[in-house]
Amino acid sequence: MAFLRDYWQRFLGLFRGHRMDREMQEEMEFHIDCLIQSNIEAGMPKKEARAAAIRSFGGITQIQEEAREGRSFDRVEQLLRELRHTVFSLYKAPGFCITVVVTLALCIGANMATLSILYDLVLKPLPFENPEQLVQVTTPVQRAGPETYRISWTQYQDYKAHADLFGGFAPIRPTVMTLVWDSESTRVKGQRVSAEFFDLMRVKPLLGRFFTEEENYVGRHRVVVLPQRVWENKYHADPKVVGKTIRVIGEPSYTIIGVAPRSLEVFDYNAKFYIPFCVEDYEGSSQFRYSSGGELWARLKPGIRAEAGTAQLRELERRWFEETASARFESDYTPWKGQTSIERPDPLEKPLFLLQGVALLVLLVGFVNIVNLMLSRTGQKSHELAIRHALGAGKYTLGRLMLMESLMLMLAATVAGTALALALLRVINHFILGINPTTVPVELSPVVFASTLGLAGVLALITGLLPVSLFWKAGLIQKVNSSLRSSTAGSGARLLSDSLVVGQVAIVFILLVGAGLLFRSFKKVMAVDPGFDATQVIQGRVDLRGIYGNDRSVDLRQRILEAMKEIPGVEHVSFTQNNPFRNHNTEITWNIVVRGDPVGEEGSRRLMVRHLVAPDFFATMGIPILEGRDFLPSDDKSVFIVDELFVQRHLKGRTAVGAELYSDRYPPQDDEDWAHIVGVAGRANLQGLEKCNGIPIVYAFLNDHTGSWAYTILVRTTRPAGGVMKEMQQKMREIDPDLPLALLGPLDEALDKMLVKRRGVTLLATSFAGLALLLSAVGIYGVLAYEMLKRRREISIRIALGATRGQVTTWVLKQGLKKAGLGLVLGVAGSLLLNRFIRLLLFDVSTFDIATYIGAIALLLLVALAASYFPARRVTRIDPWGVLNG
Amino acid sequence: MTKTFNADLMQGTLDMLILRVLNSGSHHGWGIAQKIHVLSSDVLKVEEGSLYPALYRMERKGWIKADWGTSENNRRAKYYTITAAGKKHYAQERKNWMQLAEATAVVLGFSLKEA
Repeated sequence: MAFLRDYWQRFLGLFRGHRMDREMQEEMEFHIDCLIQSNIEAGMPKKEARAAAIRSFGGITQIQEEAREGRSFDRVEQLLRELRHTVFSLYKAPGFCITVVVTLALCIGANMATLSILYDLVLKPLPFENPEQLVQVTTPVQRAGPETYRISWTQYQDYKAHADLFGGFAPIRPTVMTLVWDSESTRVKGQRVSAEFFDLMRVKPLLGRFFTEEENYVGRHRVVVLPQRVWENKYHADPKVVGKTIRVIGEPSYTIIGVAPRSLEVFDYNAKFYIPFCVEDYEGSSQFRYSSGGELWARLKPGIRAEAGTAQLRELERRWFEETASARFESDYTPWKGQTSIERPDPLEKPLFLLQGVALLVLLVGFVNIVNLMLSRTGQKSHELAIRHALGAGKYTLGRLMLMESLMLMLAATVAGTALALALLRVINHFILGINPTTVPVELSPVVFASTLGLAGVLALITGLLPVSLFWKAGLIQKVNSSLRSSTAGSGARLLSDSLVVGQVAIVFILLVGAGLLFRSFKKVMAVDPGFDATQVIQGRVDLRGIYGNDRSVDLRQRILEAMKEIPGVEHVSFTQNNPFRNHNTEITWNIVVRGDPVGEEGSRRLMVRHLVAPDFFATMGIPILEGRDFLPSDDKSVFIVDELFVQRHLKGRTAVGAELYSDRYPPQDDEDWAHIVGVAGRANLQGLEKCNGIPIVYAFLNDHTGSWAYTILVRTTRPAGGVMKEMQQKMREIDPDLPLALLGPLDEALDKMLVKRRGVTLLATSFAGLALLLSAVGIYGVLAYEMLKRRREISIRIALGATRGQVTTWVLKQGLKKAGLGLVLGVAGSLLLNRFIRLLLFDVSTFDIATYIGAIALLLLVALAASYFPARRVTRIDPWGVLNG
Repeated sequence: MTKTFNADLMQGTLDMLILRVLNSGSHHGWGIAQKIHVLSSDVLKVEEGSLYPALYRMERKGWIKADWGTSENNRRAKYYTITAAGKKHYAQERKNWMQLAEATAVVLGFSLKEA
């Protein structure tokens, strides 16, 4: 029962705090008065009696404190009191608070944003049942060009029949259709998915049903499943949407059979429809293994390891090569046939981890500042802490006080940092969508928020407790009079803050060099001569596939050319069958044989990119013809024009005009099939400025080529683009109202957009480096300013002994530069070690680019000098006599 | 002059001394300290820094209770009175103390009665 009463008393104490304090005070005063009286009676003079009484009574406050600690739920009350105290003491140091909160908010914001990207794009599990079982099957293929990942219908059939470690397979591939929505024809992207796809992902239709096995094949495939977002936006979530039809240009209508849930957006955020996989007859042929784009997804049976699955698929590939593949096919794919794997190739993974690494380094730099700031604040507060200690506050109470301060600051910083992260994500999403338009926009997920919060908590713990414990160990808190000035001030604390600043400079240097290399790369890319004149050229894309028959398509091309020429101000109009000016440019490369070249067993290794162009292409694009002639209306497919790079690479020392070529790995059977070069054009970087040293271009003539393809229309005009674009659309509507003009826009804009990835990376890297540089300037300044404050006595003695102000200033600057210099040495070593991680992002710049290193060194020294200057100037204003006597 | 000892020399001793003093009537803090001093023939001295925390602690435990009263010199003072629980506790502690002291004396080789 006794403990219950104790509990009750403590509980009452919570509410009676003030009254009890007052009563206690009164009781103490009574006691002191009695003491004085007794002293007087013992014969002391009145004044002395009083002083003795107070002296002997000791710390009233300490008694009160001890009594209080027992009085109530001391934790709650004490916490509230300490909280009030913390707020007040922070309020009195606005400069300190703002510096800490701004620094941390910047660091936390940056990290939250990068972590969100990393999580959303790489780490997040797929939003389906048992996502760990889902894998993507890929076969890397390098046939005359860069490595790509291909799949095929025959592989799918093969695996489905024989790979028993898997629960199922489903191929999907991107596609484009021209649909009529709201009585307007638009070219929209969608996905072709096999019937098994939805089952494999374990999703259920929101409405209607998904595809059947028969619908996989061309002819029975005119059914469509709507993504949830399209159903909601275009059909206003109409519950009776199943059974309605969608008009498709150039094809019979499709029937809506179901609505698919939002989770499928991870495969392509912009997919506006799902249609069956549509296997063409030829795709069943073994010659078309590894020939499809798209993705093959699979689900491992429960408990099966990925290695076992991979091994089984590789075994199936080996068997296929042995039993089915032709000798020619095998020779083509030999180096790759064993490479089928079920790891997900993610080109973004590496850069994103790199980005996160950079963000963490920035956080580290900021964190160093916070530790130093807290160290110096603890130093300034050491007198107060000492008094509190004398009044009975133990090590833990003091630690709690400092911790509360750092927690409160961290909380404010996290709120500000989150706001910053949200703003950053908006900017970053813009770049990500530019790089990869299929990506679901990145959001701040609870997982990321929680882990950032946890990280902030840990940082608060360290920054709050480390300084106090260092000061405690140095014995600076235990004695009231061991104030800042008289002590040599915690050599542990000083060593720590010095080495932190050195490390900080090193990290900043590494970031600066990295950003510098990227920035120089960017400038070099921008300085690349495109080789054509993009200003005043407008592009637009028209897709005739499946809409016009071969014969009609030639006629249509002609009509479009003529119609565009009628627009006032239009000088030249042409076509290319390629689709060069877009972001994700992966032109197909081909082998080519030059007549007279020895061709070995494995065929020609010469590569080219083929451009199929209409008359007037070079004039429209402003590409000069350097040798020979332009195409003539009378030309056919037996003539080529090659670019400078082709001559350099493949025709060195030979006369280009007149040389004969054949587009294959082996020479033609029939001599008549050789085509000859009629002209040499300037090198035009049609695949983007970054590809200037890429693959040579061979231009073939599109004059009377039949075939129903998609074309990029190019129009050179003397008028502003806006008006011309409107008229181009008008002309297209007149020719065929169902044919939309896609990707319409000025060519220089498109060319610029192709640099979005590089621009994004460079922008992020330079802003991170800039942020880090700023933080390190604050860091150097802070540490030096505090150090000078502590060494005022020493400096005063120097001045008193005759040092001039100039000498003192130089001395302080030297202190700053010494730290920076040591950091620079470490930074150079670190850069040399770490810069290989960005080698692939560089353009025409070596990782050991001397100019960048020198620039970074100069910049850092300058910043260090500037940061040291202010403390130096303050030191010279010291009044030495005041300091030494005071 | 005889050597003085701090009444808080042994843990728990002070509580017992206070209870002893209050057992014979109410006192304020100053009075308790004086009384212990006198009762111990000026050997035991009570530090204020120990006295008041002990009083508050004992009050919370319910052994003593406090009321405001008027002192000999007409000032408001806080008077402490022993409670029934306090009396019980005192009796118990006294017995314990006797046993402990006797046992210690035996070990040290003299009898308390001799001393």
